[in-house]
Amino acid sequence: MGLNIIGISAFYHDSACCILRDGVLIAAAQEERFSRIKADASLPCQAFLYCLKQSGLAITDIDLIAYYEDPEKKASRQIWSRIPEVSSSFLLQLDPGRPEREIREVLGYEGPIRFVEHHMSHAASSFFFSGFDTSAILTVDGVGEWATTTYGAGNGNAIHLFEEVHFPHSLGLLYSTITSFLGFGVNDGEYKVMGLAPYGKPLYVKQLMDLLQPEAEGQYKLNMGYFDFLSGERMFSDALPGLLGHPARRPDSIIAPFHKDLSKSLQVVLEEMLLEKARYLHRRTGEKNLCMAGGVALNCVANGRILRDGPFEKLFVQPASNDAGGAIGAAMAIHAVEGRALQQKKQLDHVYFGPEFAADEIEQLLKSTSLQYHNYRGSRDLMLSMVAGKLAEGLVIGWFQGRMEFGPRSLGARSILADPRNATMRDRINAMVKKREGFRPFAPAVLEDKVAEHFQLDHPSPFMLETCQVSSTIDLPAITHVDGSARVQTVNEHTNLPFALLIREFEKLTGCPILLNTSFNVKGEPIVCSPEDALKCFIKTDIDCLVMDEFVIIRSENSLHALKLILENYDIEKEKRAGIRHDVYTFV
Amino acid sequence: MNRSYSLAAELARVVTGGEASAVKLDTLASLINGPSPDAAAPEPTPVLKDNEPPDQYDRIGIWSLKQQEGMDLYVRDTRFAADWRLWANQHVIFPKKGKRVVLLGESVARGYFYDPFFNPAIELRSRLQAVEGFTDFEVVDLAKSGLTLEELSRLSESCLRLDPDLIIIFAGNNWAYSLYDSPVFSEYEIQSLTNALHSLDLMQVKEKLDDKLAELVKNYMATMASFSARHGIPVLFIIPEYNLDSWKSTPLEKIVAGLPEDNTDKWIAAGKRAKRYLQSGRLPDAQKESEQMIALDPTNPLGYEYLAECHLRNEKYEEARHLLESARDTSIVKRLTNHTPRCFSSCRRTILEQSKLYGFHVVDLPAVFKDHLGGKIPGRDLFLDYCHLNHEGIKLAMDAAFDVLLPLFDGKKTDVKSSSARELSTDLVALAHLLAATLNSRFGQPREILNYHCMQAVKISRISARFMTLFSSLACRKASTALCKSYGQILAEGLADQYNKGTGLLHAENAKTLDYELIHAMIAALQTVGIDIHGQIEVLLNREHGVKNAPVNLLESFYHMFSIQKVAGASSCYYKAYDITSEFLFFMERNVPVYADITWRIPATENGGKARLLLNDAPIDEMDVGNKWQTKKVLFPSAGLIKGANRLLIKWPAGSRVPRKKAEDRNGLSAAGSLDRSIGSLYHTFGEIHTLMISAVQE
Ligand SMILES: [Fe+2]
Repeated sequence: MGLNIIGISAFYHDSACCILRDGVLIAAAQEERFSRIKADASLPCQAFLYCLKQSGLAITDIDLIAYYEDPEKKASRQIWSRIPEVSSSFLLQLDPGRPEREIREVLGYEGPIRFVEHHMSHAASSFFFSGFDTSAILTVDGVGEWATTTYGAGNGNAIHLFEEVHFPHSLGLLYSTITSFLGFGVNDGEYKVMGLAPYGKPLYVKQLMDLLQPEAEGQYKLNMGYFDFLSGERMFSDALPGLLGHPARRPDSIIAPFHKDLSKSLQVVLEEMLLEKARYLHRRTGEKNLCMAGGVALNCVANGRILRDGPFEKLFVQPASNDAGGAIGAAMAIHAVEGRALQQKKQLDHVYFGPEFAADEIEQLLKSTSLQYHNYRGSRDLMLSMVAGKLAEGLVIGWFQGRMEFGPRSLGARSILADPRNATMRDRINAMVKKREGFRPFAPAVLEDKVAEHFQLDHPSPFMLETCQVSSTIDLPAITHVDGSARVQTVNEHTNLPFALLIREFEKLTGCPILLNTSFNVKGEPIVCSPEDALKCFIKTDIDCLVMDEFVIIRSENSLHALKLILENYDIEKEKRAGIRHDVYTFV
Repeated sequence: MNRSYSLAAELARVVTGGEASAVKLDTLASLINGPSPDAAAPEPTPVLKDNEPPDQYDRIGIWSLKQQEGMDLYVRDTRFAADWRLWANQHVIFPKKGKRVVLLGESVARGYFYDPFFNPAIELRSRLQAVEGFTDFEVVDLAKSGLTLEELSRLSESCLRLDPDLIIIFAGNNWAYSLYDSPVFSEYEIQSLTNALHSLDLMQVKEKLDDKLAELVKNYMATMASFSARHGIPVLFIIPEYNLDSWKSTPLEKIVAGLPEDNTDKWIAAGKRAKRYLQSGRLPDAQKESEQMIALDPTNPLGYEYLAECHLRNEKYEEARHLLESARDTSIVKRLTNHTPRCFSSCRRTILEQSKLYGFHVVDLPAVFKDHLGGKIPGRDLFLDYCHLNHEGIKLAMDAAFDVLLPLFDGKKTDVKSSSARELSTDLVALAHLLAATLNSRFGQPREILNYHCMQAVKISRISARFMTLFSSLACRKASTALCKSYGQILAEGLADQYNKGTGLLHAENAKTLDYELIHAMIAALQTVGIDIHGQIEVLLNREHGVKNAPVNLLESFYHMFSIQKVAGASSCYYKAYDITSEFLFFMERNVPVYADITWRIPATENGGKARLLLNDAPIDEMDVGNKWQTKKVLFPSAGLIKGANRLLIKWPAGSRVPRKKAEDRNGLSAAGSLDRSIGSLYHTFGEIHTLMISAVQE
C-alpha cells in the first residue's frame, strides 16, 4: 500500500498545496496561480484539486494531510504579542481552529490531519530534498510560531532541531523593518533592498549593530526600542529615524544615496550575522553540508557569501524557501515520522511541479480567439530556430512550456526571455511588464555546460539562488549588476529540454549561451499559470511574441488594441479582493 | 515574563478548543493583560490610508469639481474611469441654467438593457421639454448601476451642490444588501439572530431582518429629510416594483431548509404532489399541498409560488399578488450571498410611511402598475428580468413621475404641447430582449421565458439573428468570454453597448456557463426566420465539450446549474446538492460506452442512503452511498447514450439529517462569521460530490 500525503501551507502569505506519493513529490503549486490573487493566503482549494488531478487520485486515496505549522502555538505567540490589549474580540479573530475546520469543510477531507511546526516544515523542505545523508540545518525567517531561527541537524530519516531564537528577535523582521523604512512593501520588497545594496556603501553598519546584537551560541537580540511591529500597525518606532539621522522614505519617492547606503549596510549586517551563526552551527554539528530554508534563505547574495566564506563545503537551499515551501516540508516531515523510507535519494534538480497543458487544449483556446498564430506542432526544431532568431533580433518573448514552476522564481517554464547582450532590454522589459525600479538587473539563464566560461561559478545553480561574478568576454549589460555580479540559473537538457534547446539555438546564432530570464507576469499579478493567463498577460503588455508549447503568436501580426480594451474591462469586472497588507508584517 | 508565556499558551489552548464564550474569554484576557491594562497600553498609532478619496465635497459620484472660465463644472474623473460604465454617459455637468431635477437611483433608474440610448432620465427630459414654459428644465442623471444604500446616502448629500429644485430617488432594490455587507448588527442582535436560527424559528429570523432593513431605510430617510428641509428642496421617491409574474425563484433560492423532525421530507413530498396536481389541473388539491409547504417552511418561496399559481388560474389576482410578494420577500433570510435585487415589502412600507411623515412625494410603482393592468399581476409586459423595466415599464413609471412633478412647478396637463411618445428603434428593443435573455438564462429561468424574449426579438429586427449567431458560438466555447472572437465581434458591432457597455456578458473567473437552454431557444427562434445553426452548434459543442481522449470534469461550471449563486457561509471545493436531484450535462460525438468516476457521500446521516442514477431519463443504477466519501466507477453502456447532449441525473434520498451542534457553529468565529455559518448550516445537503469525471472507454 502506498502512502499519499497532502501538504498544506495557508492563512499567512502565499498558500500552497502539494502531494507526496510514497515520499515522491508528484505535484506542488501555490494557490495564487489559480485564484490570480497575488500572495493569496486562503486555503489552497484549487491547488488541492490540481494535486489530486495531477496524481490521478481521489480524496478517498489521501492517507494524511500535513499542515505546515501549529495553530495553537502560533496563537499563543499572537496573544502574548498583544498583551496588555488582549480582548475577547481579538481572541475570536485569531481563530486558530480555522485550518482544521476549513480542511474538513472546504476541502471535505475526513482523514487524519497532522500539524508540523513551522520551522520543522522549513527544515524538512530543505534537508529531505538536499540529497545529503547528513547535514547541518539552518532556518531563518520572520516568524513561525515562536521560532524565528532554528539550528539543527539531519541524518537519514531524522531531523533534530536543537536550538531556536524566539520571537520578537528575528533577522527576517529586522530585514522587513528596514525594507519598510526604505519605502518598500513588507513581504514583497525585500528583494529590492537586496538589489539596491550594491549601489551603496556600508556607512550605517554601526547604527544597525545598535538594532541587532549577537549573543552567545545561536542567539541574537533585537533592540525593541527601535521596532514597533508588535503593535501590528507599523514596523519601526520613532526612534529609528533618529538613530539613522534620516526620515523614512515615502514609497515612490526618489532613491537617494542614503537609501542605497542603508541597503548595503543591512546586507552587510545580515551576512555577518549569518556567517557567525553558520560557523556556530558548524562547530556544533561538525557537518560539512548545510541545508537552508525560510524567507531569509532567499537572500541569494548572503547564500553565496555563506558558501564562499563560511565553514561548509556544500550548501543546499530549498528553492521554495518562503512559506509556500512549508507545504512540501510538512508533507515530507510527516512521511519521515511515519517511518517510511525516503525515496528522494538525490538532490532536487528541478521545480516543475505545477500544471501543464496539452497542445490540443492550447490549440482549442487559440481557435476560439481572433488571434493569428503559427502552428509548429511536430516541428519543434523549426519553432526553436525561429524563436531564437526573434530573440537575436531583440524581441521580448513570453515563454510558456510544460509544467509550471513551484516557488517564487520563473525558471524557464513561465518566463519572459530576451537577449542579455542588449543594453536597452532592461528598460524595455521594465517599461512593458515589470514597471519596477530600474536599478535591479534581470537574471541570466545559462547552459550548464557553459557556465564556467561566463561566470565565476564551478557548480550548477538550477534555482537562481546564488549570485556570482560575471566573467564572460561577452558584454552582458542587461543581466550584470553594478558590482559585476549576476543571479545565475543553469539550464540543462535533462530538466528542461525545450528551454535548453532554445538557448543552444540562440548560441548557434549568436555565440552567446545565455538568455535574460524574468518571471512571466504583469506587476502586481501572480506569475501566469494557464494558457489563458499567458494570453491575457501577452495582450495586456507589449511582449513581442508569445510561445506556448509549439504555437507562436507574434504581436506585429495581430492587432491587439481591441482585445486589450476588452481585457481592461474584464479586469474591472473581477471582484475587488482584499490583498495582503504590505505596510506591516501581518502576524495573523 | 514566564508567567505571561504560560498564560498565553493557556489562552491559546482555550481559543483553539473553541468551547469558550465571549465572557470567559474576557475574563482570561483581563488576567493576561495584568492589573491596569489601560495605564500600560500605548496610544494606538493612527494609520493614514492613501487610497481613500480625500473628501466628499469636491465630487459627486464620478464627477469632480473643476473651475473653468469662472464656471464650476463637474467633470468625469479619470481616477474612477473603471466605474464610468455604471453611470450616465455624460462627461460634464454644467452649472444650472433654469430649473433642475436630479435623479438618483439604481440600475432600474439607469435603464438597464437600454442605457445609454434610452433611460428614465431621457424619457422624463423629453416629457418636460414638451411642456409650455418648461424648456429650461433639465434632468441631471446621477443613477448608478448597483448603487448601494451607503452610496445613495453620500450621493444624496453631494448632489445638493448641483442646486436641485427637485430630487427624485428611484431606488430600494439594493438596500437589503446592507444587511450583509456592512457590520450593521450589534453583537447582541447577532446573538439573538443566531439563537432564532438554531431554534429553527425561521419566521422570527425573517422578522428580525425585516425590522433591521426598515431601521436602515428609516435612518436614510431621516437624513434625506434633514437635507430637504435645510435646503427647501422637495423630494420624490419612486418605489420599484418586482417582476411578480414572470420571474421565478432561482434553484438556489428555493432550496429546502433543514426543518425539525421529518418536516423536510414532508415539505419535499408536498412539493412533488403540488406540482403534479398543478400539472393535472387539480387546483383544490394543489392548494392544500402548497399551503402545507408554507406552513412547514414559511421562508421558502416555492409554496407561495405554487399557491399563487392556483389563484392565478382562478383569476384571483389580489390573493396571487399577495402570495407572489411573500415569495419574493423570503430571500431576506440570507439564503444566498447574492440574491437578485428586489424591493422588499418591509422596504416599500417604510418608504411610504416615512414619506408621509416627512412630506416627500411618492410614486408607488406597485400601485401604478396595478392600476395600469386593471388589477392583474405585472410580468413580462413591463419587465425584462427580476426588477429591470422594459421600455413600456420605463415610460409608465416616468408618466407617473411626470404627473407628480408637473403641478410642483405650476405646470398643467393642458400645457403639454405635443405627445412625447418617442419611438425606440426596433434594434434597440430587440437587443434589450436578447441581452435580458442572457441574464434570465444565467439565473436558471424557465425555457419558456427564454423562448419569449428570443421570439420577441427575432420578430422585430434582423439584428437579432446576428446577435444570436454570435452569442451561441460564444456560449459554446470553453475559453473565457473576454478572449473569444465572437465576443469581440459582439462588441465591435455594438450589439451589447446597452448592457453595461458590453461587460454584462462577462463571467466571473472559472464560472462561465454553457447556457444550453438559451442556445436552444435561440436555435428555435432562428429557425422561424429560416436560419439553421443547429448543425454548426452541435459540432462546436462536441469539439469544445465532447467526451473524447481526456476525461470531462462535470463539476466544472459549464455542466451544471449551480455556479452563479452561493449559499451563505458554505464555500467548498466540492459540489453540494441542495436539492434532491442533481443534474449534469455531457456531450458525445459518437455513442461509445463511457465510465463515470464518482466520489460522493451523503453527509450528516447515520449510514448514508441509496442514490439513483438516471441517464437520459432512463434509470441505470441504484447505489449505496455512505456518509463518508466513497469512490465508484460506473459504466454507462452505449445503448443508453445518445450522440450530442446527454443528461445525467442523480436522485438523492430524502430523509432527515443529524442536526449540527450549536457549539460547532461558534467554534472560535467572530460574530459576523458565526451568523454566516449559522445561516449556511440551515440548509441540507442531500448529497456531496468530490469527483465526477466522464471518460470514454478505450476501444
Ligand atoms: Fe516561514
